[in-house]
Amino acid sequence: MIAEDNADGNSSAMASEQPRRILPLRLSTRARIDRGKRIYFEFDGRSYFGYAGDTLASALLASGESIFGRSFKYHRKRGVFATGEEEPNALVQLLEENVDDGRLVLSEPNLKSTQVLLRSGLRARSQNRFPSLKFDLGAVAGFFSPLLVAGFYYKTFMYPSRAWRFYEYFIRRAAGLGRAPRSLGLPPRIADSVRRVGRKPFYEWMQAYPDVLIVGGGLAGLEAAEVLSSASDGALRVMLVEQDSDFGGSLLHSDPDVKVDGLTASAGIVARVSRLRTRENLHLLSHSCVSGYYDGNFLTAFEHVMGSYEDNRLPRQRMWRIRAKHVLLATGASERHAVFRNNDLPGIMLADSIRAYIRRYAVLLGRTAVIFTNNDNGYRSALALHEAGARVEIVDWRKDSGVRSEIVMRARKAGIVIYSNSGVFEALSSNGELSGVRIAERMSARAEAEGEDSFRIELDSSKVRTLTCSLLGVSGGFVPRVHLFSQAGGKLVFDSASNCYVADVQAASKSRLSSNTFASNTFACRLAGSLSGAHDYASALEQGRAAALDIANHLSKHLSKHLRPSGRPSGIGRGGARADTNIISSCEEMASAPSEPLPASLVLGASSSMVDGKANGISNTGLSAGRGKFCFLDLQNDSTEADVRLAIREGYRSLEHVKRYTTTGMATDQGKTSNMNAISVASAALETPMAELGTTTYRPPYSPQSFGAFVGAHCGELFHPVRTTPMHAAHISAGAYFEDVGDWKRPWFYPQGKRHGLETLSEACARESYGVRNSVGLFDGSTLGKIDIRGPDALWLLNMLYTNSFDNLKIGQCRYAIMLTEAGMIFDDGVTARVGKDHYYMTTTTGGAARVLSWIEEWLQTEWPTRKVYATSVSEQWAVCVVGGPRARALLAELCEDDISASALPFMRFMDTKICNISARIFRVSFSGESAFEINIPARYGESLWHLLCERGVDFDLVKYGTEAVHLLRAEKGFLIPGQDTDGTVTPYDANMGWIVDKGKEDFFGKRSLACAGLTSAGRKQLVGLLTTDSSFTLPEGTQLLESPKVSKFRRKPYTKSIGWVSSSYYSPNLEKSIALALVEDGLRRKGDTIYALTDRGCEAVKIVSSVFFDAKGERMRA
Amino acid sequence: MLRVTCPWCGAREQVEFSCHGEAGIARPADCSSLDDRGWGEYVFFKENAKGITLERWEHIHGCRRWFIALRDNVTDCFLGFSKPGEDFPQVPSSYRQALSCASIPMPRSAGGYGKNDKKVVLKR
Repeated sequence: MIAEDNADGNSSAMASEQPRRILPLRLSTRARIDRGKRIYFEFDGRSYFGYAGDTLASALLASGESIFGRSFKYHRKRGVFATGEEEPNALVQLLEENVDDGRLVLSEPNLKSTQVLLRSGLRARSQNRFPSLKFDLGAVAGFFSPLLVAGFYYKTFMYPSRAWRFYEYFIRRAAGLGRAPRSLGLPPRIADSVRRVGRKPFYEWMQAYPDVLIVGGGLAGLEAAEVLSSASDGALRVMLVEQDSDFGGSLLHSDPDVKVDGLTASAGIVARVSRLRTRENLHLLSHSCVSGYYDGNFLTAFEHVMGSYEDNRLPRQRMWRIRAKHVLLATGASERHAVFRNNDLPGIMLADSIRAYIRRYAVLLGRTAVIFTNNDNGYRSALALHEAGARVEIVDWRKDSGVRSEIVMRARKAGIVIYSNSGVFEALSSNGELSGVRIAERMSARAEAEGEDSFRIELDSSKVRTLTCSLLGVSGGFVPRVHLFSQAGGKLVFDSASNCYVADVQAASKSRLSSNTFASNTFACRLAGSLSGAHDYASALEQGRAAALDIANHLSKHLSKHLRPSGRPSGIGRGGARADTNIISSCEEMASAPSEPLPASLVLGASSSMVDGKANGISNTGLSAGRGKFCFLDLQNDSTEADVRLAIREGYRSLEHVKRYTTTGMATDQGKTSNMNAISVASAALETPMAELGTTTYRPPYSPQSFGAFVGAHCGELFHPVRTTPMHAAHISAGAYFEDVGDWKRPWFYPQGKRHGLETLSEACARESYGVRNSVGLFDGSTLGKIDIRGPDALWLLNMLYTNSFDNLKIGQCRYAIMLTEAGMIFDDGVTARVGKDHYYMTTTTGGAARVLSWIEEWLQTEWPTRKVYATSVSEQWAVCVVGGPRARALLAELCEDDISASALPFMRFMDTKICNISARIFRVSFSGESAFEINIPARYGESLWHLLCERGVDFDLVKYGTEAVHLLRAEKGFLIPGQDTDGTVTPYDANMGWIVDKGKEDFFGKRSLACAGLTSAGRKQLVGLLTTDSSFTLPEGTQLLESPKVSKFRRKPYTKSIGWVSSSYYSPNLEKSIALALVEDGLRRKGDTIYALTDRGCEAVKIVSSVFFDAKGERMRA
Repeated sequence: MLRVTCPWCGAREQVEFSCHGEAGIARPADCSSLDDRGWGEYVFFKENAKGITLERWEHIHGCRRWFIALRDNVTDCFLGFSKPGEDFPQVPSSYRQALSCASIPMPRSAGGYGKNDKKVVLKR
């Protein structure tokens, strides 16, 4: 085989032959799959099988599938490119049976098939293809690829702007990923969450407070877990999170000569993990991705719960919210792609992934393979392929790969052809899949030097050859996964040896990242393994151990005394600093540093004989204009080198802008395999060293996570807490519709049955308000905020809070008052009663209760901590039935034991009395404008009182009324509702309530502001009433008011500016006309003027009137 | 998410607290004596300093009590907490060293708690 290769190695005739793509197949070698357990599954409607331990990708690859999806923009065929979470191409959507009716519905979209563990009954389908993977109509996009450049949509679909909605539909369809699932059933109910029976798929949150969190279960992480969990006699709580389904990292596919604890790496790791599992203080979490590193060592991890598809009592995923004292990051490194033409073809993969498929899943992905590498690690993949029986050739970018190392010698000994000092510059395709590569030697050293700038290393066009292959493994070096480190605030530095950004460990060790002086707030974070530059297993092991000992020493100092082992003050238990060299043998390089970085992109230049003096003559722009097409950077978003170069030609300089304009690195893989190459290309195009460009910002999440996991149990009934009044059950049985006010459910209206169906809102509101005005109404006022204020300084407090004076309020009296902010604006109102000498009972608006209490507490705690007064919320302790209307007093007289005649209980008084032998407090106040009584009764009697009133009220034609009728009734009276008729810019004077401000008072909150020039000047918006010309037309709330009716015909834009807006608007059935409250500039001076309201019907003339529409003298209210 | 130490309850998650901005602003004792500008500065104008600031926090979903926190809003480190009436927390010298910064500007030490309260001395 080798001899043949050598023979035709130079001939390019091979390329013209139709290459045979031999199906990948399952090897019989040892791997981490259980051949005893066959698992059947479905992909795109076809049935397949794999083995336990397979991923969806490995099982499909073993079955001979090579196309997994179509690319985002050009709809090119795409295959598997990597293993695990770095996979950009092979995304799938799962399908599942709906729990309710068994229909097959879409479930999770955009899953990487390389991460989906095989399970029986798994149903998946490919994404972004129509009608099928093999034949895709969208592929015509490829023909228009010259048009689909960076910023294509911004440039193309600009005009007319209205048509964007039309374009968007098609653009989204063409570029879609998976579809969001509609529903797998109803959200969980509270009862379910208790019993957990018959549940729909669900998610949950977990909280964890480990002493040490180790991120990454590779060699360094496992070793650290070993050391930490045995330190201080097991006093430390340790958590180890690994995103793969198995622990071990790259050891899972390491070469057979790597031994762990004397066993093969795979078996050694299994033994080690099962030993670690017995430790009670160590929590091992696999198949869980740590995706965010936030302030104060707070991290989130997303666990895919094993077995949750089979057992519906288990959540699909758990979101772990982890607060760790220390964090050890051992997140490893990922391999880097190279940029050359057609580098996206199915059959091109990361070299290390090829090895992983052979060693871990026993899948050989191609029988004729080429490995293109710039480091020694690529040779391991080549040797693995060779052992598996494939024909392999190596293209080594390095100049002197010949005698470099032992591994190169092994490859040579095995007879693998090595083309050193060469690079792949183009991949050849047949039917959209890889059929060969074209390689060329690098320019001679002299020519390269004369090419003067290091940004343009080119290949010699006179030394080109074509290699036939069905599989190309690329290794462009290794990039440390610095994402979490960077999220935590760690600094990155450019490392020219590996040509990428790495964690600045030295700066990190000096800075706050390691300082634990301010224990609860700072990041205490250390790094280990290939993330911090370990190039072989021995040093990764050593780093893991050293970091763990460091953390253990640090934490043992802070362990509380009872946790310390007796007899030993602190220190490390088992292990100590003794280096156990037998743990791992063979110092295999796991992520060897590339000795020579690849150039930004591999292109064929002039031949080296021609280059002298001429290469410089070619203008840079001319050269780069046609260059980089189909040289992909981001495989998932289909962004190419040409796109980045175009962006830079168009003037983009910042990497953050280039990224967004070209969408490079913005796909669901977040540029795991593309970002460094994109920076490299940008650096070449800008002729700026990479070190000066920096990176784009790393933000959480590290990889995409399900919304379901973020939501957890917070859906359905558990979405938000709900407050209900003691009478809630009565409202439900009365058929009330509810309105959300804050967290409260308040009865909105009580629709009655009529001949056909139920009353509408306006019909019910008309009936209810008519009832209140003419007989008696019953309203649930329990939600009102109620604050009990006691103490010798209670009077002083009220005088500070309210604008009016409480000095002369006698026991038994009530007073309406408003509160201002320090800026002089109304923020709450209510009635306050004096119960005793130093005892007041304050009511607030429903929504303002918490705010008012907090406002009181703020002043009492911070400014006047020695004032003797307490404020206590009693909102939930009292149920309130509001009985109002001309016949209300007569109804109450039947129930109360005391005399409640007009002389005994006049307006703005209260009395303590008994109803059915239950103590009650009745306030004679009114918000409806009728003679009304607010009956406060201990909350547990609220429902009984409600029923009693309903029962006795029958004789009085009692109607229950809801918030809609309340709002209408008070609007007829011109009573404002803070927050509806005020917006934080309304002073008492603006609200026409100057009478409520006691200027003689020494001080109250906001008093000084009311005297400020801006609040007293003309032109302020003031609260007035409005009447429409057409009395049946109700203005929509929020309508803008204009001085003149002139409106441009185009889009009905007014010519004059707005002079106000409608704050409340109703049709009043009692007045038989529609009424509105509005804030109008200088409105109080302009009563009688006609202004205009801009509505959907056009400009409506409206008249400014007094805000009191009904019973202006208040005779009914005081009755 | 930050971890905040309530002087009464201990260290808790940030969601239990609400921050009420700059501390150390005393309500003018005699409001009416101020001109519009002076009053406006009290109501509206804040230092909004970058660096170490004194803040008012409320353990709103806990003991509902207010306290002072000294926080570096650049690094998000809490440097100390105090109850109302106590002395303001000081920047620990170890923090200065950690930042390798000789002089850290302290927030303005205007006013304080209980300035209007003439009845007792609040220092404990």
